[in-house]
Amino acid sequence: MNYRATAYLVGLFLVGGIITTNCKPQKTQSEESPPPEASETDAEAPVLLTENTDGAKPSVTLSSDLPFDVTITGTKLETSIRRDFDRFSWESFVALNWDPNSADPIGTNGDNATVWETWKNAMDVFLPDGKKPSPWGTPGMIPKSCKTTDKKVLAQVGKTPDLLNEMEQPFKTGPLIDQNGEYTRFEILMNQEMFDYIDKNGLYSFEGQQKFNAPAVFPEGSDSAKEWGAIMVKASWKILGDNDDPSRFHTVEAIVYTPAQDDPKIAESCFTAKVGLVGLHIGTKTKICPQWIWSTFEQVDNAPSFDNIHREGTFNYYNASSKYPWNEAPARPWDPNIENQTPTQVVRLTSIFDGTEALNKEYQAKLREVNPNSVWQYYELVGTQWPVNPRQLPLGNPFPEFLANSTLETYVQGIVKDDKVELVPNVSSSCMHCHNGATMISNGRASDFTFLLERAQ
Amino acid sequence: MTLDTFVQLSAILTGYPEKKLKPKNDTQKVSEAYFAVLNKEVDAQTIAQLNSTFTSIQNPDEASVKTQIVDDPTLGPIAKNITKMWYLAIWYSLDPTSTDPNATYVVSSITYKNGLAWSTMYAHPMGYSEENFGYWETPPNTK
Repeated sequence: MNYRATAYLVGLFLVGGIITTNCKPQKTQSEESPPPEASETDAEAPVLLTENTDGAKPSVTLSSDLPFDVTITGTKLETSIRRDFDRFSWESFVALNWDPNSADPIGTNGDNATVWETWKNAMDVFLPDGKKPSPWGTPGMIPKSCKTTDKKVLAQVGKTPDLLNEMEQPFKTGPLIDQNGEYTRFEILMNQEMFDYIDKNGLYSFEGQQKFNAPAVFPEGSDSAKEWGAIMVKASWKILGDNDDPSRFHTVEAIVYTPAQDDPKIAESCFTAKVGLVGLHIGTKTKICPQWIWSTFEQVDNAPSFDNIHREGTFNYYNASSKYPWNEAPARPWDPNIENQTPTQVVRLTSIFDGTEALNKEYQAKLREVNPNSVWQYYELVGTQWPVNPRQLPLGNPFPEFLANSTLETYVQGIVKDDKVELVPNVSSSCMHCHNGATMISNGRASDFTFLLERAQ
Repeated sequence: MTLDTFVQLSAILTGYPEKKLKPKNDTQKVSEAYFAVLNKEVDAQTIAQLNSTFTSIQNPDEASVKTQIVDDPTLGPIAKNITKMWYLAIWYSLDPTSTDPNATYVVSSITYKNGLAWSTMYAHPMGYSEENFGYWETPPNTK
C-alpha cells in the first residue's frame, strides 16, 4: 500500500468524525498539470540547485545586459538561493534602467532615460473595440484633451483602470495619496516578446481571445537559447512637490491624465508635472521559472517598516504626527481632482529580508561609485518571489509566501493584530498566488499569470 | 525530542513520508510549527517519554508504533493529537472537561492550507486553491 493510500485511510478515519460536510470541490488537475505522484516527486527534486557551494558571493557588477534567466549558485533556500534570485532582480533593474541611448554606466549623469519606458504601454495594446495595436516602436497615444504630444501619459489613478468603482475590485485596493495630498499614478508596460505574443495571437481583443480559445503561454527567457521571455513592469509615480527632493528620484516630465468617470462623477483632467518613480514591479517569465520571477523595488523614502516605525526621516507616504490609520484607503469619493486630500499613512508590514538588505547596500554602493549623485542609489529591492518547485504545476510553491510593494499593494500587505503582523494566504499580498488566478476576459482560460488580457475589448 | 525525531514519528502516524512532511526546501515550515505546538501544549516529561519510547523501537513501523505509543494510555492521546494536527491543522484540547474556548485552536492559516486532509481528499480549503481558474472542468486525477 503506498503512502497516499495509507494516508487516505488515516484521513478518512480522522476526518469522517470531524468534518461534517462532504461537498468540498474535488481537486482536479489542470490541462497542463502532471499527475499528483509525478508532481510530488518533482517537489523533492533539486530543480533549482547546483553543485556549487554556499557562501560564495560573487561581487556585484553593473551591466546593461538584461538577464535571460536566473543563475543559481547556492543550495540553501533562505540564503544563497534567495540571493541568486535577488541578484537576478537587481541585474534586471539595472539593465532596464540603463540609458538606452548611451554606453555610459547607469546614472553617470545623475538620472537618465530608461529601457523599460520605451516599451509598449498596456493602454496602447488593449484598445476600444478590440482595435489592432500599432506596431512595436510606435509612440504611445495621447488623449485628445491633452495638448502636449511627446510626454509620458500616466492615465491610471489606481492599480486597475476602474479604481473608482471599488465594488468590482478583487481586493480592497484604493488610491494612494502622498504627503503632498496628490494621487500616486500607475502604468503597466511590456517588452517586445510579450507584445508580439499578444499581437500575433490576437489576444488584444475579446474576439481574438475567443478564436484563440486556449490557455495563454507566453515565451520563456532562456540562457541556453539566449532569448528573453515575456517581461512586464508596473510602475508607480508620485507628483513631485516643493517638499520633495528630485535628486533622490528617477524623474520624468509627464502628462498626468484622469479619464472622465460617471459614477461617481469625475471630470476629465490633464496636466503636465514632474513625477518621481516610487515603485517598480518587474515580472519575468523564464525557462527555469515558468510561473515568472517577481521582483519589486521601491524608492527608499516611501515608508517605515512596522518593526522600525520610529525610524527618523521624512517619507513619501508616512507622517509620524498623523493620526490617520495605517494602510487604510482614503475616504470616498475617490477623485484625484480634489485638492489637498488627506495623505495615506503607509507602513511596510513585512520587513525586507536581511540578505536582501545586504545586497541592496552592495548595489547602492556600486551605483555611488559610478556617480555619488546617482538617483539610482535611492532605490531598494523589497524582495523577489519565485517558484521553489516550478514543475509542481500550476503554482510551483512560491517563496517567500508573501511579498508586497508599499506603493502597489498598500492595502493588502496584511493586518496588525495584537501588535503583531498577520499574513493570510489568498488575502495578504502574494504575487504568484494572486496572478495564478488571472484569466482572459472572453473565455475564462488561464492567461499565464497576467491580468492584462482581461483588458481586451 | 528533536524536530527530526518528531517528523519520523509523524510520518508513521500520518502515513505520509518524511520528505512530504518536511521537504528539503521547506517554504511552509509546517513541521516546525507543529513541533512548537507540541512543546507548548505537552509537558516536558511526557514529551521525553514519547521520545524515549519511539527511539527505543528498532525499525519503527505502523504496528510497533500502534502497540507501544498509540495504545499507551499516556502517550496515545498525544499521538492521536499529533495525527489530527497534521491532517486538520488543529490542536485539540487534551482535557475533555476543559471549558476554555481557546484550548482547541487552528495552529495558523499557513498550516491550515497545508492540512493533509486536503491533499488526501484531492480537495482544497474553502477560499484557497492553487489550481487555475476552471480546474473543475476536468475530473480529478487520482492515480
